[in-house]
Amino acid sequence: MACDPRLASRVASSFRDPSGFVFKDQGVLYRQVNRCYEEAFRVLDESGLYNSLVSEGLLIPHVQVPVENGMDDQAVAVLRPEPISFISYPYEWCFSQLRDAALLTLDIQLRSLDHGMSLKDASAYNVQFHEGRPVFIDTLSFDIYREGRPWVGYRQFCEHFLAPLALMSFVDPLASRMMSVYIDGIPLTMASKMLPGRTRANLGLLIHLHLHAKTQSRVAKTVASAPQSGMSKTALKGLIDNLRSTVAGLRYSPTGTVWADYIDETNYTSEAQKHKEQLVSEFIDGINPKPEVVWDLGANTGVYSRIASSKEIRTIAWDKDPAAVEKSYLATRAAPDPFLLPLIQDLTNPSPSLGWAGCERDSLAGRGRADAVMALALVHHLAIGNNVPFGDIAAYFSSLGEWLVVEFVPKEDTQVQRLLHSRDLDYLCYDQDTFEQDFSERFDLVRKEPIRETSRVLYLYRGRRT
Amino acid sequence: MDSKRRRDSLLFGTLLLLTLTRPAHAYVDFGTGSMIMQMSVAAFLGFVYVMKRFWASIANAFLAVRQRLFGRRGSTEKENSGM
Repeated sequence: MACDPRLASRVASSFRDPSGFVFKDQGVLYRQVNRCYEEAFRVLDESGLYNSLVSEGLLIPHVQVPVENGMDDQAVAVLRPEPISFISYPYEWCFSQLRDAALLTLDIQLRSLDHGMSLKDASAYNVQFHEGRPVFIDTLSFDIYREGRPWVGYRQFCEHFLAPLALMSFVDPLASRMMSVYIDGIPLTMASKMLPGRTRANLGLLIHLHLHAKTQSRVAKTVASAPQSGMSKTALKGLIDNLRSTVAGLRYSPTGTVWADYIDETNYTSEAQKHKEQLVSEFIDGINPKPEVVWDLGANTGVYSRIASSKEIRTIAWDKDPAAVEKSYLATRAAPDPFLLPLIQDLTNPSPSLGWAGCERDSLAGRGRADAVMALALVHHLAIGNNVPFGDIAAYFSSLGEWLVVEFVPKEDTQVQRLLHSRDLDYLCYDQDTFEQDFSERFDLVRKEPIRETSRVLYLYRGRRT
Repeated sequence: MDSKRRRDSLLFGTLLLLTLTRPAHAYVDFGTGSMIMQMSVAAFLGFVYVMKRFWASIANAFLAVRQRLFGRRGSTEKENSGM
């Protein structure tokens, strides 16, 4: 479905909060502050909260531009936030990314309370990964704290963060994909039913998830208005602190999946591995002009993505396996790399447009193209594992970026033999000649090199201009 | 079983009555159940928080004394959040 062109200026996802909205003007992103948020916006600045959060890299900084740049007469201020290079969504994050986003939200809430403010929502979409770390992007999420008032973002926090994290920790790391169905958070009653009984022994999960779900169910049967006061600031901080301990205590160990251990199980000799790394580096250097954005498809733990990011190229390491992405993210966090962003993506079913009018959350294709795409040891998985013809793979890759570094793995390779273990090769046109012929319909060959001590071949292609 | 259910309902009803006041206003659906849940655990979690802070201040004071006496660098508990 095509998105409504009338929404072209205002960012389609920015309609929920009446405090303001985000819009684009000539490719530049702005945030309009509406009249109804004027007082809170002033307190955010005067309380020192904005400076405190920005100085520690917790909140995206902005510059204020003349109010005449606003889109309507409701504007009392217009901000130009520092641009985020790639917008990702919680259903594309691994466990530790979602957990870091949750902890960031709680830390900001605690800091806000110290400055006389409180977060009025706790959406996971308020956090983005920017230069290798999570950062809060919604400058209008801060409300003036009213003494005695409970946290209005509590339910949203539990549904956007706690429930998916608990499911990822205790049930399956792919549970985060449920966020693409329940884009406003996983219902607590559902999460409570899905979690194993032993999670009731965890005090935080017992309170914030199981009892919370039960209370919601009971209240749903009554007609009651919510309490607005009666909770001291200390009690509120206790609640946030307990949520923080609960979230920080959740664990996930990225082992046991096929892909997380894939690199260790490939049939490369160290010489072959070294040669492949050298070729990938040379091929990237051969792209002219130097790419600003590289997407490494099927990146696994990001070994080759790091070759691109080490050249100060913004690189996204996509992989379908949550354990591989978890390993990649943990490595990025341990040795900070501002140019690398590991994300979960199943290329056989890429993120679609979602939400209101099918436009609220952009599809993968709707979030821009890369300058160069890397597809190393990937094509055989798509061609054999998912029966996608070479021509269709080439067409999809060419839609994602102009340049392509792609590896062909012949059927003699043990990795292909594994895939063919329960398949009949006779009906598959899986050979190097067909690969080259089909890819040459979309791309011009720039360079082709065999990888030493293997039967694999690496290609550098450039998209054919039509 | 029936008496247990009746007792639960009575407790829940009492809690509901105790916490009902004017409606809160927010653009997100804060959920009446979620607000009641917070109020129900507020005193307990507030107490835990105060105690946690109290013990942290004792630990900090102890570390400061140790540092002064032995010149060793002490550090307060830091959660491994990776942030």
